[in-house]
Formats: sequence, C-alpha cells, structure tokens
Amino acid sequence: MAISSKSAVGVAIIVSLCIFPCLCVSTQAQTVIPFQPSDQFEIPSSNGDINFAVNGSYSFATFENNTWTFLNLHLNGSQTITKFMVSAQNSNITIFSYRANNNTSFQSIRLRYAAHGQGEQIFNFGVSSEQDGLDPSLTWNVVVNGNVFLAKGDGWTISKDGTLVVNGATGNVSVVHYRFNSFGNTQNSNLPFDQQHSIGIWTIAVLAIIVGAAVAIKVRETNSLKKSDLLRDFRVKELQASTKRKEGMQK
Amino acid sequence: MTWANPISIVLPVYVAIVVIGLLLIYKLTKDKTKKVSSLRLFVQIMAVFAVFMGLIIGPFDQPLFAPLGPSPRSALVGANLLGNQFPDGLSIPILACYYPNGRTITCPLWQLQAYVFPFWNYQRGYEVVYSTSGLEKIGIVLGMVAVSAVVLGRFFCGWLCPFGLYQDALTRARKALRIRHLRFSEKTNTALGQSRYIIIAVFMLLSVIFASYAIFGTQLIPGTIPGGPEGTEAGIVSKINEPFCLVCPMRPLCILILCGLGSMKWSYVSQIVYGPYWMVGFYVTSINLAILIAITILSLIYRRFWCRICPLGALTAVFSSFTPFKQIALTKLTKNEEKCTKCGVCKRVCPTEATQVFDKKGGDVTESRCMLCARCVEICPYENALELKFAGKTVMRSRNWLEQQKTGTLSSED
Repeated sequence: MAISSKSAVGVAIIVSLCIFPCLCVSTQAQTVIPFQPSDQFEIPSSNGDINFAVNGSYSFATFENNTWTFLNLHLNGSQTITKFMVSAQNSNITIFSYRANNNTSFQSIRLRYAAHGQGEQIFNFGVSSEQDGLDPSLTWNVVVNGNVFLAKGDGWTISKDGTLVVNGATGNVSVVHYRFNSFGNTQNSNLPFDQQHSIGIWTIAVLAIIVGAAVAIKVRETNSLKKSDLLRDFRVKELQASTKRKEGMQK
Repeated sequence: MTWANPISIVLPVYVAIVVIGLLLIYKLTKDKTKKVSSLRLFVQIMAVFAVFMGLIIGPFDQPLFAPLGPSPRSALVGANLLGNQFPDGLSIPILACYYPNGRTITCPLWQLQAYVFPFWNYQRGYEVVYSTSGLEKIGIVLGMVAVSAVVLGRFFCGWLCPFGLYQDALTRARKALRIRHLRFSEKTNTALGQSRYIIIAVFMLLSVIFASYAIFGTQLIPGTIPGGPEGTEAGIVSKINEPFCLVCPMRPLCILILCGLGSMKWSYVSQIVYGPYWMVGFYVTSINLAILIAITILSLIYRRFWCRICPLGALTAVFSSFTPFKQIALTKLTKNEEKCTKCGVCKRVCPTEATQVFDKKGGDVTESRCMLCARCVEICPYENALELKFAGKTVMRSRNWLEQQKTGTLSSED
C-alpha cells in the first residue's frame, strides 16, 4: 500500500506528539526524596555517620563500598550537586552548605561541614583533580575553623579522579576548589589578524609614536643648540671686531 | 556574597588625594633641601596604593583565599583592558610582584620568565594556552618596558618602585638612629652595577633551561619534565617556572606584609612548598626569605643597595641609558658646566653613588645607575647648575638655597 509523503509526515507528527508528552512526564516524574537534619546516613562498618544541617532533597542515593552517592543533591539555600559522593571513617560529618560560582575567569566549589572525631572524611564532587597541569595544592584548599590551611599530603590528599580525603580535621571545615579558565586559542582563532594581535599592534604603534616624538624633540634640541652656538660665536666675533675698531679709533 | 568598592568612586578619590597631597607638600615644605624628597616619598607611598589598588577596590568577602587572593584575575588592569591576549597585567618596570593579592600591574621580569614557556600542554607543560604566542608576549613586555624607559627612564626606580620605598624607609630608620651609612669604593660600585646585567642574563638563561622540555621537547637538565596525566613524575626543578622570583626579595616582602594586614593567610601561603627547607614554593622560599633579610641589612648599611644590583633596573637602563635609547630618552639629568663649582655635594647625596653627575663636565649626565630621584638637583646650591628635564623642558632645577638662607629671602612661596 503506497502512502504519500504528506501522509507519512502527518503520521510521524502524530506519533511524535504521542511519545513526547510521555517523555516529558517521565522527566517530571523524577523522584525527589526529601530529608531532614535528623536523618542519618550511616556507614556502620567504618564507624562513620553523615547528616545534613538543613532540609534538602536528592533524586537517588546508593550506598556502596562504604560510600554514599547522591544524585541531584539539593540543600536548602545551596545549589544542586549533580553527583556527590561522601564517606567517613571514625568521624561524624554534618554538612552545612555547598556553593558553586561560575565567574568569568574561574569557577569555584565550596563545601562547608563540621567534623567530629579525628578520622577521615572522603568527598568526590565529580570533578577531576587535575587542570591545566596546575598542582592540586594550588587549586584545592582545605581550611579548618576559617583560618588554618591544611597542607596537601599532610592534612589532605587527592586522587586523579577528584576523590578528596581529609585526615584528622575536626571542627568547622571548608573544602574549596578553584578551576581557572584557559585563555584559549579557541576564543580568538576565528578573529581577523588585527584583532587577534591587537595588543602587539598597539604596543608597536605606541613605541613607534614615542620613538618618533623623542627623535623629533632630539633633532629640535640639537638644532636650537647649534643655533645658540652659532649666535654666541657671531656675538663673540662681533664683540671682538668692535673692540678692535674702538682700539683703532683710540690709536 | 561578595562586595566591592566601585572604581568610579575609588579612582577620583585617589586622584584627588594625590593632587591635594602634592600641592600641600609643595606649598608647606619650607626646607628647600627636603622639598623634592618629601614629594618623592609621597609619590612612592601613593604608587604602592596604585600598584595594589585591587586591595582597595575588592571584591571582598570572597569565600576563601584563591591562589591569586581575594582580588581575582578579573580585578587586574591587564585582564580587564587587555583581555585574553595579555591577561597578566600591564608591564611597568617596577617590582610589582606577581604573587600578592590585588596588584593592578605586573613585574616585567615575571612575565619575561613565564612567557619563555611557549607551548603549554599536558605533554609539555601546562594546558593554559594564551591566544598569543610566548614570543609575541615577550615582545609586548619588552615593548612596554621600552616605552616606559624612553619616556621616564629609571624614574620608575626612584619614584614609583615599592621596593625602593622599602629601602628608603630603611634609610630613614637608620638616619633616625643617627647611624652613618657606608660607601662602596668606586670600583666595587661599578662592579655591582655591571653584575646586574649578568644577573638578568643568568636568570633568563635559567628560565630557558628550566623550560627546555616545554620549548624543545627535551630536557636540558634532569627533572624538568612537568607532571601530567601521562603519569610522569615531576622533578623539583619542574616547579621552578620563574627562577628569579625564587630569589627576589620583593616577593616575600609583599607576602609578609599582606599576611600582616590579614589579606593573606600564612598557613595557606606556607603550605605550597616543594622539597626540603622550603627550597621552592609558590609564594615564598627559604632562599628569597634569606635574601630579603640580607638585602634589608645591606640596605640599612648602604643606601639603596638592591637598586645597584636590581636586574629590572638593568633592563630599564638598557632602554634608557645606552645608545641608541640614550640619545632619545625624554627624561634627563643635565649639568651646566659653567655653573658647577665641583663642590661634590651631588656625588655625596646620590643614593646609588652615581658618579657622572660629578665627573662629567656638562650636558646629559644621566647614567645607568641614576634613578632620576633628583636628590642631587634638590641639594645642589648653585642656581641652574643641575636640571631635570623632560622632553627638553626643565621640570626641576637646582636653586641657590644657601644664599637665600643667608639673606633670609627663603620662604614657603619660593
């Protein structure tokens, strides 16, 4: 049975319209599981315990290998973390807030929590520890009680997949990570030559103008010096001549 | 939540303070032999505020201390004006250290060393790729230094450099204690002056050697391969990107002051060190702390000791005191042979013990050691014997302050 192309398009649109809402509904129907500060996420085998200081929600949580993994974790007053892995050994953690900044020149992630018990706290924000070849000690900070920066290797370590292990910190702890934007070729590569190299061109132009002006001033100075020298010579000669004339007249 | 002082308010207030301060000092300083020195001290202090204007402008209350501190890159004049072609800031020939918070301009020596690394990628080094090549950026830095030097020469050293202010403060402290300074022999002073060029050459060569893996793809000395995702273990030498900065006394001075002011945290600054004895560090090293102490002691004994060996001063001098730049330099110190009585006071008061102002018969007496501080012009007691000229016009000239003092005609209006 032959179907005209118009009919085929019509059927496709109807089928699409039927399927699309189903897709949307399934998206909207993503489960949101709320939690409260009283809810505990325990890690019994490693004597750890995690809870949040504020109300919040997540879409999915699993507990594997002594690590809690939260998807779309949202704390009230904070932004949503797409994937957040957290674990603790011999310590209890109370997470206060999560902040992410998207500045033009750098992005930052900041997690604030309180740790009780001198154990280990393990986090993974889903970002790689390495960027631009920078040493992670430059781009990751672990700060205790607001002003004591722990040294990498001493107070904390980080693996290449971005798993941060904080050792022995107690009290209020902040974990901060900065990611700097590359000043990449890609931003400028499609621009015309003069725009790609405008700073260099400006520098050359300013240098040329300054040198030109300086040379002109030098030439003017030299000329005026020559003129004044000539004038002085002329006056000296004239003075000598007049003296001679006077002497002659006196004789 | 961060906040900042709007630049539209800070800048006019700053300019107003500078103008009013200059006028007040000019009008109120009665001692003719200290008027220029007072003006210079004021300009030096205001220059420090200009160099670290980011600390005044903000933004403040950043979550924590980023590697570049609470005034991030976007606060830099360079990042705002010059964009991604030249994001590290304008190059002005003063020791405006790259490492502290809030700086608005950048030391050209840091830039020259950093831009030696032309191909930043994971295989050869960092992946930070600027939109301009290393060579182009080095050309821009040298161009900016040349422009500055042709226009103002080593005026930058005498009037604007923050480390110069530090040394002058040490001199004032010594004077307050009534301790007399020592002088080098002329031979030693000349040798120190020449050592500047060796220092800058050695450190530029070291930069190339340390960057050899980034430049040539092969390491000239072991340990220069940077670490990367390939699993290459980084040697300690690979942490040395700017070798001169490891020995520069300005870096620890800035960091220590900012830590004292509370704008940086010592526990953060001191944690990023590599190797034993703090040999290499992102902010401070044991070497540059030791050099700062040594330079401080030497500057107490000899006036402006660092300026005699400063490689940045040497770079500025190259573009202002040597042919062909000397011929076209716009700021000059000139001497009138007929007025000079060879009393030698100019030679005695010169902080860097420059000799041409005394030895040369007349004409342009600017030399590579002269910082154009105008102390000699100020102290010379012979009318018009010494003049500081800009573009052929006299800006400052010596005055017969001895005679004026004798006859009592000297007043604040003079």
